[in-house]
Amino acid sequence: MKKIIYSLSVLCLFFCACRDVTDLLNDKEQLIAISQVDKEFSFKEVSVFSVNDTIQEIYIDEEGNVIKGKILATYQKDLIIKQMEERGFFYIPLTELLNDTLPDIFIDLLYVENKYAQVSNYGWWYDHYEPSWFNYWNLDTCYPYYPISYTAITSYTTKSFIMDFLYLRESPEHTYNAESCFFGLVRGIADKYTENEIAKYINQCFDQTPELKKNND
Amino acid sequence: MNKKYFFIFLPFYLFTFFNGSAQVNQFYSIEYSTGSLVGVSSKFINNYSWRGGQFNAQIFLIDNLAVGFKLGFNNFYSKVEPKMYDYGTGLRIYANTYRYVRTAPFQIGAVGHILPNDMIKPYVGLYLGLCYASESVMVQDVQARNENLGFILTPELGFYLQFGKKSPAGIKFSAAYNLATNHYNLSMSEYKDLQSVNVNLGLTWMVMHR
Repeated sequence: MKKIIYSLSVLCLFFCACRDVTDLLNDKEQLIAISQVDKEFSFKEVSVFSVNDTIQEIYIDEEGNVIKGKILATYQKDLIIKQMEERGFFYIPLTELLNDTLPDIFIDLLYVENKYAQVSNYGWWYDHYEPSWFNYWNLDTCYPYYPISYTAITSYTTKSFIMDFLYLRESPEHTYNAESCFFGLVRGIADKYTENEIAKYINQCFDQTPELKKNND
Repeated sequence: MNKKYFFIFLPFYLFTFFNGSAQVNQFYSIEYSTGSLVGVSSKFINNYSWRGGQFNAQIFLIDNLAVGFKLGFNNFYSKVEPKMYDYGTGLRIYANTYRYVRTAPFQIGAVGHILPNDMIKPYVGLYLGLCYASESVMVQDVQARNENLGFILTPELGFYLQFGKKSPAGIKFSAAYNLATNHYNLSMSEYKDLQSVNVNLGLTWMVMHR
C-alpha cells in the first residue's frame, strides 16, 4: 500500500504539471503603441499640415493573398487634427489647398490586417511552436501536459493602424521629396479595435513623443 | 533489491565499489522546486516562481560525506503592466511585456551529513556545474530571446525526513542559493550574472547497505 501511495505521489508531481496551451496572441492582450520620431528633424520649421481623408486598407490572409481597399477616415482623422493643433500646428484640409502648394507635413493613414493560422502538435516534451523543454505554465489556461498529445489549429488576425508623417519639401530640381519624420503604429488583435481603444493608443503615440511640437519650450 | 533496481542504479554501485566505502547510503530525490531571482536579476523578474523541479542523487563516500549530482529546472516569469520603453533612438514602445527566465542547471557536489543515521538527516552541500539559461521578453506575439550556458555555484542547506527507521522512503526539504555566470543582453535589459534562491520539497528513496 505504501509503495502504491509513494508511486502515485511521484506520478502526481509530473502529471499535475501544466502549461499554457499556446503563447500566440489572444483577445485578452492589449493593443500596443509604437512611435518613431526622427530626432534630427526640427518640427519648429514646419507649421501647416494636412491629413488624408481616406485610410488605405491592406488585408493579408494566411496564404499571403493581399486584398486592398479604402475607407473614409473619420474619428481617427479628427483625433490627429486635435492632437496636432494642440501642439501648435495649423491644419489645412486637402480641398482648400491652392494649386502648386503643399502642406509642410502630409499625414498618410493605413490599416494593415494579417491573418495567421498555425497547426501545432502538443504533448510530451516537444512543441512545434516553440522547440523548448521549458515552456512556461499558465494557471489561467491549464492543460494536462505529459500524457496527452493532441493537435490544434490556432488562428488569429492582427490589425495595425499606421500614421505616417511625411515632410514635403521642394528639391533644387523643383520636384517634391517626401521624407518620413514621424510614424505612429497601433497594433493588436483585430477584435480589440474599438473606437475608444484605438483613440486611446493614437493619443499615446502623441503623448510619448515630446519632440512633436511647434514650440519646444 | 531486485534485479530491475540493480541495473537501474548499476553505475552508482560501480562507483561505490571502486571507492570501497564501508557503509553506503544513497538518496534519490524528485523535488518540486520554487524560487526567486535575487540581486540584479530581480530587476528583470521579481515574481516568485512556483514552476520548477529537480532530481537529486547522493552517494556516501564515508560516514558523513556524500557526493552527488542534481539536474533541475526553474521557470521564472512576470507580466509587466503597460509602460513606455524609450530606446533612445526616437523609437518608443508602450506595451505589456511578458518576461521569462528559464534555467536548467546540472551540477555535481559534495554534501556533509551531520546526523546520517537519524530519522531527520540534516546536511550542508556545495554544488558546482553548468547552467543553461534562456531569457526572453514577449510583446504581444513578438519575442526577443537569448540563450546561453554558464557556470553555477550552489551552496545548499536541507534535511531528509525518513518515514520510518527501516523505511526506504522519506521527504527532502532544502534551500539553496544559486550564483550563475549566465549573462544576458535583451533589448530592454542587460545583466552580467544570474542569481536565485530556491526552496525545494521532494520525495526521496533511500538505499542502505550495512
